[in-house]
Amino acid sequence: MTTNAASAPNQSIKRQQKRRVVVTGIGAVTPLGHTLPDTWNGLLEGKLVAALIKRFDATDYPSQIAYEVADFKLRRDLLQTGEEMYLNDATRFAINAAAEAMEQAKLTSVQIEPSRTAVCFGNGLTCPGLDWYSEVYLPKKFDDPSFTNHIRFFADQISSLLGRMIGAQGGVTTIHTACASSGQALGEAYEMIAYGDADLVLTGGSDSMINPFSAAGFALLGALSDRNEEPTTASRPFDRGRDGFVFGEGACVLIFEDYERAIQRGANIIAEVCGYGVTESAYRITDLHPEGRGPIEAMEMALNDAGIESSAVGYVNVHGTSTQLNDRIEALAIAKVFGEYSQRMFVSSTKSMTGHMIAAAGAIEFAFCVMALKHQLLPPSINIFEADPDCRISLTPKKVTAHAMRYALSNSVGFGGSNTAIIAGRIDT
Amino acid sequence: MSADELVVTGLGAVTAAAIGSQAHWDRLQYRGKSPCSAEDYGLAQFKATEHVRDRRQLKSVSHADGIGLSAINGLITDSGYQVGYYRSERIGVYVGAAGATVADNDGYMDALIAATEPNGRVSSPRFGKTSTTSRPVTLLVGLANNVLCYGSLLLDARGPNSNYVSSSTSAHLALINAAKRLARGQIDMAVAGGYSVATDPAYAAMFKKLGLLRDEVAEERAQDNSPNNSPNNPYALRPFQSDAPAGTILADGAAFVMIERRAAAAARGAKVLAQYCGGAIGSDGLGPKRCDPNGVALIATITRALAAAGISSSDIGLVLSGASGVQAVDQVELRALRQIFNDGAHSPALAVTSRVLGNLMEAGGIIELALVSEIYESARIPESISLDVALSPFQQTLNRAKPYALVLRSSPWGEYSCVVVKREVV
Repeated sequence: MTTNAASAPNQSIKRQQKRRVVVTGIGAVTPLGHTLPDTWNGLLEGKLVAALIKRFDATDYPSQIAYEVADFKLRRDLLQTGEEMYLNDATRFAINAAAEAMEQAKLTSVQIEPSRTAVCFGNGLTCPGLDWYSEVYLPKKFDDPSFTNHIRFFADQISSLLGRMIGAQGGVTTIHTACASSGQALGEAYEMIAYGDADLVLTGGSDSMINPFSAAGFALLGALSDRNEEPTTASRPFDRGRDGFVFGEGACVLIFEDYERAIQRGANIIAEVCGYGVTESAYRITDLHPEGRGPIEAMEMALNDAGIESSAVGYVNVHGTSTQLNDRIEALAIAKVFGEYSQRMFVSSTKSMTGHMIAAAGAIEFAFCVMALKHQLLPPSINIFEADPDCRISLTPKKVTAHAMRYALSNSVGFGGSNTAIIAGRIDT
Repeated sequence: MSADELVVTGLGAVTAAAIGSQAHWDRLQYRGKSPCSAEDYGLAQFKATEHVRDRRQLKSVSHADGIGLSAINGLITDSGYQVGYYRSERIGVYVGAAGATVADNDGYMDALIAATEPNGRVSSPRFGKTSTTSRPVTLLVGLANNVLCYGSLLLDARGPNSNYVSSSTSAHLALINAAKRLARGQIDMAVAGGYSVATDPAYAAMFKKLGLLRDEVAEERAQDNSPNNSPNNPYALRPFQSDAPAGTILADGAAFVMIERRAAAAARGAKVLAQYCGGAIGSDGLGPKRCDPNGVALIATITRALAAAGISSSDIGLVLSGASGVQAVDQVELRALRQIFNDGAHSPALAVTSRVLGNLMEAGGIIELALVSEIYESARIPESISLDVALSPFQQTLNRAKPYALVLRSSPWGEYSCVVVKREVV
């Protein structure tokens, strides 16, 4: 098939001037901690919190381990009458994380313009538990009062509640592209501000797939680690002996804001959002293209959008799920994009410490990039017992290390083929 | 006309009313029986295998995904698009989808039954064992981005993409964001639209629990011997009519459009259905199932969409409302429209497509784009989507001198979208 001239990039279209976008607040609820500081400190310590699943009786499942958010307490004071019925675990995590992000951004004490405020959030495929299937679905008792449980799993419940918390009248968007969901939400939030559609966007992701259906489904696909005897070392991205991912859960909420507006109101600017790339692999539903096409194009697009050379990037937080295929191909993609420099640039997958937070992964991993830039510290690479020689990348050291860097990049890859790359830049103080 | 104008060059649509662009227009002319129930608007018996060119794509997707993929297949035919015409990385695919439904786990049904104890409860450990005999792809059937993935494969599209699970505004979000990428020169062509899952029994039951669904009228309807497509049929979905039963009727369906630059469309000999002029989204910010009765955010949304299109409300000749029978939401829409068009001299015609199409939820607001030029061409609002009472200041006759149409979407979650299109003179 010949390619028509019409498919060449259209040079006649004037490149739209972009506004600068900054991060002014971050909140997190993760297996490492119930706030961003606790999570970040846990990450630097290389805390390993994976254990046998407590959320449901996982005896006799092929994979029985997870990184769970333990002893979580929802801030009920943030709820309004009637909202309880909409809450599931992912929603609860998101509410606390949003409150933390808004407090950090000092949004609770300043006036925001509602029509210029939006929500763009990534969420997952949470579903009711086995009890609900026993009591309602199998006997088809949809009129049973307990059926309201399912209302908790409606796709844009979380965004709607977050929209209420921040008073967003500039639109509420919910994105689901599997594990790329929140990476994509961050990217679209950034573009909304950069191209003038909003001044402030509450963004991020939330998920909890620690349930019988997900445990069964991912096991059937051979995607989960079954190192049930050694849960803390089961998630081992880029280790030669990796055998699959381990579930994580949680939420990460970020406040993105127009730079000028943030300066004007004296906000505490944590980092800049510099570039975004999004592509579709168009290969297979679960597999990356063997040459890394998709992630390569997403990273190149993000670098181009940020207007920086690849050698300006000091740290890449990769998707790195700890599956054989993902890690090998992602390493290949990084080598292709960064060339020889990939051997001097630091890479890590923090999923060894958080587990795979699925739809929330992109958001928390971008937050780690922001924190790495802010503190000029590299998160450690944990659970590397024998680095996979097929993954030719330069992993961060096993202990937290100081490192001068200006830009950091976060990658996300999802079932269904969506790939995102988003670049954070250090703000000079 | 500018070469960089964005134009709609094809529609792929599958609803209970019709399949395809022309068939939907033909259906609007139909004067027979009105759809009145979930069954009428459902596609439970739809066979995607008859509409999808690569049937392997249907092996691990849901019934709703099959409807969505059928619409994309239909779009490729309708637009005359030859796969490979545009560079893969310059094609965007933007989808509105419903998210997960509990029926997505139906692939575990045998495992669930096998794990059920005598007391009727499913044992988790037993399910851990019994589920291992389920199909390996069971989880994939429930992915909410299957249509994005397989649609991209079909189109060999590797460019920017997204998958919105934002209820009634999902398809508009897909269209508006795709158009923005086109306008910025980041892509050359996009496929945008959405698909719904009304067939899912639990999904419908959830809407019922929330008090959003209309009570079934099958029994009364069976006694009604007046087959007609008239707005006077008491059992039809009749948004804005004070005597209509309250509540919406969910519809199965999918609708996708192709959108590209006018010059490129002309170069490949594509037929232009309408010009895309601009769009906007908005929200009340009040939380789930809460709408601002004053319609402040919807008014702002429409105002932003008009600004994006570079026109004023007096240029609008036609409003295709998103009203779907949820009275609280419909009233917000009506109030906002009254305020936007408060000058009676400039009032547009008002039509409601949900009468024929049902509440297409995540697929809604797309088919209308392809119908606008046909409506203008025929110079009248088809009776099937017109209103039977005067909603001052809205007209029932079309002023063809005003070539712009507004297409609205609004949801009980207080989320809104508005798209402005311009009729194409054939």
